[in-house]
Amino acid sequence: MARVRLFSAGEPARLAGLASLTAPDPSERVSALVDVAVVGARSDGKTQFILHAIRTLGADAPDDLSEPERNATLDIMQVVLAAARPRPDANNPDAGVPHYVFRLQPRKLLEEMGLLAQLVLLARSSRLARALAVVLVAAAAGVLGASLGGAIDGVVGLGLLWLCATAAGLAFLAARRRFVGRGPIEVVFWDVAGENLYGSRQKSAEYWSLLRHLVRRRVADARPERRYGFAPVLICNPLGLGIDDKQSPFGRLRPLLPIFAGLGGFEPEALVVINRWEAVRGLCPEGADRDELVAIAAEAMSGANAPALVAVAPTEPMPVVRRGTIRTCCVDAEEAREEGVHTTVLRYDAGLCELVSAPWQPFSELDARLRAFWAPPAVEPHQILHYRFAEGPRAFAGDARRVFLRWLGRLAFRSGAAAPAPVALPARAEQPDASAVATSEPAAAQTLPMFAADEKAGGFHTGGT
Amino acid sequence: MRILLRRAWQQKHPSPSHPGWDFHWHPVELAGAAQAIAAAGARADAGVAVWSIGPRHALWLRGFAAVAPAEQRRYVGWSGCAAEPAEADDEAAWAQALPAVLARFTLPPARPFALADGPGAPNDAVVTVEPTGALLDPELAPDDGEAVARALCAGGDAVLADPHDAALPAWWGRMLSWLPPDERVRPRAGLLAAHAAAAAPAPAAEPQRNLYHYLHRCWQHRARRPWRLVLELRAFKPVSLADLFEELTGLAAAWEHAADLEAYLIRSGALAQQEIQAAHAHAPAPLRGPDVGDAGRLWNRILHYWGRGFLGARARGEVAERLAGVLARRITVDHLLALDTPERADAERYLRRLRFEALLTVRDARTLRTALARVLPSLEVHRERA
Repeated sequence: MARVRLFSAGEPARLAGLASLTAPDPSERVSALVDVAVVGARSDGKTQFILHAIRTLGADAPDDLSEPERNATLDIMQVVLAAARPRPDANNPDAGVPHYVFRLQPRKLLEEMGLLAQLVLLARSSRLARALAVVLVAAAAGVLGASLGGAIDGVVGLGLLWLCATAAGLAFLAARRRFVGRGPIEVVFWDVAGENLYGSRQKSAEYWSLLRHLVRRRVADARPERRYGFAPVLICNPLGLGIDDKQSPFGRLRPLLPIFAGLGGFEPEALVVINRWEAVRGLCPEGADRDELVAIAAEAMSGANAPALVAVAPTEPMPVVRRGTIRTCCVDAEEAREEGVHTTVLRYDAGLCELVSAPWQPFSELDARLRAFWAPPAVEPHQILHYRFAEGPRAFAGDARRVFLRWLGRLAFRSGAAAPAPVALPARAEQPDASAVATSEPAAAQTLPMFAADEKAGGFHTGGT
Repeated sequence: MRILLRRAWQQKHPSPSHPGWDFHWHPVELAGAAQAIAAAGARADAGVAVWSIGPRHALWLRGFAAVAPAEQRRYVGWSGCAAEPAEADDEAAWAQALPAVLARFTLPPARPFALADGPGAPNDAVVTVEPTGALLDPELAPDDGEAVARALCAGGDAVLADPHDAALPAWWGRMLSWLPPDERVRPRAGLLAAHAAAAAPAPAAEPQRNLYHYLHRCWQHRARRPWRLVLELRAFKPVSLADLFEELTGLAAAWEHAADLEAYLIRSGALAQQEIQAAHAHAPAPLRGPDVGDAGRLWNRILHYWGRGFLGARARGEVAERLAGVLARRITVDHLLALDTPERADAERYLRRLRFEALLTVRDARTLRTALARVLPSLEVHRERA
């Protein structure tokens, strides 16, 4: 089975990234396709979120990816598996939008969910609701029949209850078996460079256009036995929230989230990811004044002593946040339906970090390394929080893991997911060119053989007579 | 021709154009840069070079790796040169000047911008370049020359020992001088790396493979004469090089058995069915009888029957033009084939057959050679094996 190239005519949008996209062969057992578009400003942690998600999925990539996808997968896997320093390269905004294809095995998804979440998922995806309804109707009919015949008593009631429980259990197991048998969920992460969304080279309309082409193409291929889901993930980096949450990159991108989520069509979904959760806890201790300003000196541990090769002194001021802003955006955020979009909130911390709070001192007295990165802060803070971090090869754990997997399951099997009729698919990916297969027929009697046909790739295969 | 030469850097490090740690261009984004970097895709890395050419630009960038201290992330940036016409559009003049334009590229160091590189505007210069001739000396033929030829013609990846060699743009320009001017400026982009991609690119069709193969052979042997014939053929019947090689490949495949050649001549319009029927009706022997054992003999007989008027006496001049067109393709193919086995090949055998084996009168032979000279003017002029 070969994968199908979805945009065989080349890039449909101005921002490159779709031409290399492939989908599983229509005959392959894949229960759902999910596109996850990760949105955020530069350095907010988009790729880092993807790394965590890939580890959570068990880094299970399809075997038959196209060459560009396989290269991208190998590149990201080098970071996923870099135990010592899993720090990804920054995405170049001109290099297009890379995507990474991984799979979530249905058994793994079910095992990571609680019973109630499993019931909801199976009800959506594997007709469990219908089976349970049949059981309930049958039970009601039994009770009604027994009461009409005057034969209902404790033993019969218990028997009926036992029968119903057994039937429901069997229905649950059958639905579970059916769900597992439908095949994995293919999850594609889209990792845009921050500058394309919020920064020096803002091209968010081009990114939106790319996603729109993607979703339209995917929806055309969706069918009941292979559903499709799309949702954006907005990264909230608490260190970049600033004094006024409305003015921060997150605050400015947050109102745009429904537009990206709306591309997914019916029952739009979105995920807001709050990373650097330890920093949030450090910035919002019990009893702290909400209006207090805190400067943040974030440094990667491994690069703390690396010299900064800087031709021009930076003029970006050292970031300062208001504790109240952090509390509003990070601590108080919760799952909600806003503007028709069901938004889930996931909180995690990327790795190992050290937090040291100290009263603010004049900028000129700060470490020279910090002064090489930043200009003096725009406002005088009360405190400085030294946030030193080192990323580890972590996956989502605890609540974050449950939230993420449940969100993926919900996205893949939304109750009203459209299932339009299948459309004709374009050419297969990377099929060998039949014309390239050399055929070495025996030379005719008067042929002047210039070379054997298989000696080289090019050249006329006959010298003529 | 006056051109605007620009040098620029794409980096995350702050520069006079942008004080923050975002990706940005300094002083300005170069024409064609986004397409070249996008074409490089996942292979874009330090140590590679990317190029892009179009009707109004030429661009060469070298990748470098750097770490943005503010976030401790590695990134791949680019530094390089671009040129564009300084005045009104003149695609033809731009195409003629392109090799000279690339020779004027002075690549900045492959690292983030530093103050020593000059503050912005001095990185721009308007210079005058003169159009260069075709078929400049390639000086060195790359090991993987067919891939280079493929990249030159169609864009894409190629392997070179040192993709950061500062002399590469000038060398690329000399290679470009082997393409017809309009194909030099066809928009395309590519990547030069020291190592091949993990998987080879999708194989090209046979005509394209022949194009890349013989372009490389000509570079290897400094063989201008065969390629000049190719360019003349292409100029006579304006088609792309790829289409021309499709014709040549079809001709080479057909020129083996008499039946195949007859079918080819009809298919290509060189002979009409009526002309073959006329030959059957008037000639002493059928055009393709048992004594015509191969394509070469059939060709001799066709020329002979043409000379005697058996193909129809009315439009002998027009038939001569058509046959000269086929002969020009045959001779060009023979010149290219001779590059594969120079010790055994005879590139001019069909000129001799015209003189001896076709049994034409001197006047008819001269008519065909005159028609042939209109297609391949250099055939008579440049007798030397360049």
